[in-house]
Amino acid sequence: MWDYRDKVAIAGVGYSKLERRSDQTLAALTLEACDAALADAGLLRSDLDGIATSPSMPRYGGKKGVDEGIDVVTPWYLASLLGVTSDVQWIGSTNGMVTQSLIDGAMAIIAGLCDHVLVYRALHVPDGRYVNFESTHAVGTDQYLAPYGFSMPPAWAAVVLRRYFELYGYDRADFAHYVANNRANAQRNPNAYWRGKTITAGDYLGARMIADPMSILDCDIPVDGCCALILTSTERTRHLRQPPALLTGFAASAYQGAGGTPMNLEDMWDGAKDVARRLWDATGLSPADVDAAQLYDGFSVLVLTWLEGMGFCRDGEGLAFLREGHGDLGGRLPVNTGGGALGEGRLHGMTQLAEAVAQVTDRAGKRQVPGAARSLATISNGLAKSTAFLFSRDG
Amino acid sequence: MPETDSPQRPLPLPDPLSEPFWAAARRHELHMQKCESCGRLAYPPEIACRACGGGRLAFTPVSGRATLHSWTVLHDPPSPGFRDRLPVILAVVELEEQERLLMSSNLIGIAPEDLRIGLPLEALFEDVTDDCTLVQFGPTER
Ligand SMILES: [Zn+2]
Repeated sequence: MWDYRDKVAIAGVGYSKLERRSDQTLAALTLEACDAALADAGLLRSDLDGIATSPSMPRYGGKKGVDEGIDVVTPWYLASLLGVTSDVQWIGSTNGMVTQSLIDGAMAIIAGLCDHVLVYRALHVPDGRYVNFESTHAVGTDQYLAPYGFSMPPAWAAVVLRRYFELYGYDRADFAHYVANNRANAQRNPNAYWRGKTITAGDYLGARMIADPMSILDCDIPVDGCCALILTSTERTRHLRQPPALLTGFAASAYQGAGGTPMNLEDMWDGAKDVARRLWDATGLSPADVDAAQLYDGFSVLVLTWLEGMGFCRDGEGLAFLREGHGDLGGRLPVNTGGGALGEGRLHGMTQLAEAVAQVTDRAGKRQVPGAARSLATISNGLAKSTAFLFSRDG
Repeated sequence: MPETDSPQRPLPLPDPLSEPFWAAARRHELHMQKCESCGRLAYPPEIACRACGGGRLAFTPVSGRATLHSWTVLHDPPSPGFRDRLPVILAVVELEEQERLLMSSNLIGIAPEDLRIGLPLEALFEDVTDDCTLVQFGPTER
């Protein structure tokens, strides 16, 4: 078991407004989220001594947005925007996913290097289509994919969902309950992009197809916006404004799947099962101890591979579990209680983390799972760079 | 080029690692890297073997026989060159030589409603330009 179990905690959470395309700069949205997180914790900008993110903007084949403050907000730039350059002991920005920055931030606190670490994810939607392979040449890994039209993530996820459906006899109708119910969860979340817009099972079945069987409603929505978390020691957190969400343990995946396709079902299960084994070893806990699961859903199918990979269901049984309502609020294992990325917007797992924190600190309002003592957050697709975190209630 | 021509789909730009693969495709042959230490086949080409770490990987012909692992039908163009090609079948095939030796391609000569996991397939070669041949797959000829 991890020696520092429950010794580090999340002390504050902040969101900017999430919009499809904001008229504010990404820098302004990032400051809004970071100041909100500081205010939530009851801290000042000058209390920050660590800042971390993974500032990349994923875009496929089009113009890569690299402009500081517009397309990306690096932690060095953010430190100057916040006016804390002389206070910062440590900066992290080399990770593949922002959630690995959270692991690094926890390490910085355990090492005694930092007292208060800000971890944030700022994402921008550039002009034009998000996926548009405009180049006439495909280089590197793209040369084995883009000539066939395999240059968009929804298609990568589609072959996983198709294989899952075919192997276990499901179709999109089996997913309709979950997708509609997940959007209903988003209605109870004031941060969610899709607040004010419910969908029915019929809406889901009639949705515009992107890469069959993946429709537009199986994809999260790219937004302009930011979500920020403040990490500190559990002891210090107890003197702050909010109850802490204790970091009980975490795990990361280095599992490389087969080449030739960016995602495939069997490798995603195998990677997720590696993460699960490490997480349960680190925490000394098991799936039965989880009261609410926040499972990464950049694409709907990832909820299934995480549900099964983490050990909540056997392979192939996750969709039946969701179809029967066991993942609903009030079900056996409420899943993506805040609406996930499908309902909140694309922030690369920050929504999952923020919701896990909300659940174990009784701050989830109308979507609160009563007395939730432990909430899981998993991020990415189970393959390398994926992470899982278990948060617990204090005391 | 006349303005009425559709934009070309992205074409592979070979590099030192991939050139033997694309050169074989131009001869209508399918070649895969094979690790000289452990015998594992690799695709796409790798600098070192991911099974044993061995650094000697040579290209070798494979049968081109495969089964259908999964597929999707694209309804949204992933690039300008696909606007006039939709819907297109995008397949992941598993080569018969090795478990989880996966390759992406388009399927030729079969309709989406006839697809099923495990369908026997064989490699086909689509000469796109004088310099470029893509590896595609279609149902095995009986
Ligand atoms: Zn080898």
